[in-house]
Amino acid sequence: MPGFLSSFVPGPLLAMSGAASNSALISFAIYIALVFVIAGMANRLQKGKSFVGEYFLGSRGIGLWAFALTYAATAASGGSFMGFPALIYTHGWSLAWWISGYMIVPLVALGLFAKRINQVGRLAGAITVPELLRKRFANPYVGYVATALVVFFMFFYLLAQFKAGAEIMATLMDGVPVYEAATGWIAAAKEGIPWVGQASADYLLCLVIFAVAVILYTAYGGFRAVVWTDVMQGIVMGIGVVILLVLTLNQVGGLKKATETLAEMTPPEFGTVLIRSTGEGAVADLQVGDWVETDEGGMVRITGASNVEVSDQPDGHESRGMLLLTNPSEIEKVRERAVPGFVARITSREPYAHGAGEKGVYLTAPGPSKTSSMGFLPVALAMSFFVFWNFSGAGQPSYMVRQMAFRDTRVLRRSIVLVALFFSLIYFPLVVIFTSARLLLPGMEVYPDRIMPEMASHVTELAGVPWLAGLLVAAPFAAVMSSVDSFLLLVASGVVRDIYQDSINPDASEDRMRKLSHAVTVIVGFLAVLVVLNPPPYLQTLIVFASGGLGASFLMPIVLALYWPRMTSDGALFGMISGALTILVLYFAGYIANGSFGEYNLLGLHPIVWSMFITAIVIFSVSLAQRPPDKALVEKYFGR
Amino acid sequence: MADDFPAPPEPDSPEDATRGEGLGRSFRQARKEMWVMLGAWIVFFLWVTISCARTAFAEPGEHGEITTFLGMPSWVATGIAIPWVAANLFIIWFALGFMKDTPLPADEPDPELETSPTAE
Repeated sequence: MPGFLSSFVPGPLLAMSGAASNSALISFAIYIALVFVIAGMANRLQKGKSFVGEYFLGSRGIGLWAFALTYAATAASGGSFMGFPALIYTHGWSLAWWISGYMIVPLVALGLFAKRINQVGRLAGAITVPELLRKRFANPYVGYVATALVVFFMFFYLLAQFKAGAEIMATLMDGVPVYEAATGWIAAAKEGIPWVGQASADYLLCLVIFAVAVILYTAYGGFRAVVWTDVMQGIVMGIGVVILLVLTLNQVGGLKKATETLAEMTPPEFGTVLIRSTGEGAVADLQVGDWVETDEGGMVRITGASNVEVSDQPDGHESRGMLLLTNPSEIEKVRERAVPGFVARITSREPYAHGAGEKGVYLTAPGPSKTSSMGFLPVALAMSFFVFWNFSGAGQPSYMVRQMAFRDTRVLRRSIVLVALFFSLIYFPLVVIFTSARLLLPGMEVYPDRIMPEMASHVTELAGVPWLAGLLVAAPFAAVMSSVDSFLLLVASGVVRDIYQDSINPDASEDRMRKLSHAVTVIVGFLAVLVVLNPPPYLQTLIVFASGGLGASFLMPIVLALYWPRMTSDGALFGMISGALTILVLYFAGYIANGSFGEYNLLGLHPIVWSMFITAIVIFSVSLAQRPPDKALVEKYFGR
Repeated sequence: MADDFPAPPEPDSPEDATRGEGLGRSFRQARKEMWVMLGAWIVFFLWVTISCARTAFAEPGEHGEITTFLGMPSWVATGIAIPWVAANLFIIWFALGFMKDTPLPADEPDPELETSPTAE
């Protein structure tokens, strides 16, 4: 496999069967066609309505299924189907505790805001979150700061999701002849073009197709298209998880048997090996991800080039990084996949910092960890995540916008129930599926982010239905797409409504606003694609950073703006700024402490927890130190 | 429906308005629901944390065997799965039984920002 993906994804790992590749292509084509049909229908509905209200908020007419599934689908981003399964595979059942906050997320996220934010949004005539804050406090600076924070943090989100979309699509298309031919052509065409030329052909092709599709349907159909496609994407996700659960449990012999087998397993070890050829093959031809038998009868998987200098390296031997299986059942399972004609001798071993050699470590907390002697999930961190999922999620402007769009409170009440059932259907079954995945696919620690497409391909082939792989792999693709379109529209609304119409040209005509909205959506998407052509490092960490930043900046200011009449505009202003600063400071401290970009968990608590405390204190202190807000404002927003 | 929520009495001062005298019935209902919701969050947070902290770290038996319930580790059943089911039941009661429908006001026109077909 040429290019970008081949630099970190082994060919055999991604290669789907011919039937799976064809089904993936057909699924993808049908999927994209449906998305554009939906965008076309949404565009037709824009006629005869106020453009800005319809384009950015669907004229506040979103019904039950649309509201519930757009909320759920936006919440379940690419991380739910890539990062989360990878964590489950690597750390076991402790991830059930890690994600458990989602049991109450529908109540907290929707119950905390939805009724009031919709009410206040209507009273203010607000279409965006910054606009709502600006009008609630009758202070333009509150709006400016909110817009700046939305655009700043949300752009990081866009980058990460575009990259994830391109990667999943590459997995989906791998092995499809037309795709392979196109990557060859692009590889030749991009040579010599600055910045673009550095991107690999397969990644470039997938990124461009993914970006063009999502930018076009978002720009053309606006909020309503985004919501309707979210409904379709939510259904794809739900069906995909249910099918994967049934196939997986069937193949591991049921959950009880899977748990009993997992109880016998111990974590793998990393290290280095010396590999020599015993046949005609050259060691240099071995790829990352290949299995090689050791001289002691064990099995190692190549993780990459070794940086270790081996002083007694004989001729014909090469040193490589490796993953060593430690369980007899896993070793026997992969023995037949060993590349013949090579033998490996282990030269160094690095056991896990927590859980090495411990049976049952995948079934209990804190779960095995390669780097932390405390394990993956100490109690304080588990508590932090219960807070994080509920309150950081609730504080995301992309969710708040949806809560401003439902038709009436009857829709809201029923949607809370639907979202609760949807999250139950997705998150707990994912834990069951990917703890069982360890039994079916050993050694995936080499590329844990690829466990979802690998499992989709593996279980459908074993079940004799490889054509189903297309649908299953479409689930994470749908998750990414449903997040990208929402974030894209949110950033565009910040620029068009909150900056241009509010500050530059309040008298802008309907036609001008339409053209500008389309143009800004396309330009924002284009800029994100341009940056992510050569993705920056720490992208996954940037997602958590952006999510934490938005939650920290908006959660407490919005909650108190909706429920505390005494809050002043300065309280809102300093609350948002202090929330953002708390996150920035704790990430800077993390960089100083760890030498790499990441958060600093002061006293074991996630920065979002600290930001909630600090922001609340700042808002209360500043507001109570000032005169009460204007009587007319309080009456307008709290008098009904 | 709007008749169910009559206009509140006029408050005498801004202080009165922010202390509750001038607060509308719809707002007070939403605030009541918020407190119940936060109470529920605390209950489930404590249930999961206390249960898992007590049982999730238990060492498996000599040969790696652990107790299971419906195929999953017992601590997951008592600390995660059962509370998850209970949370769903609570959510159903809260949303369909406790939460009240509230008339939402019509979109307030904004004379400053409303677009017109002709204005530039």
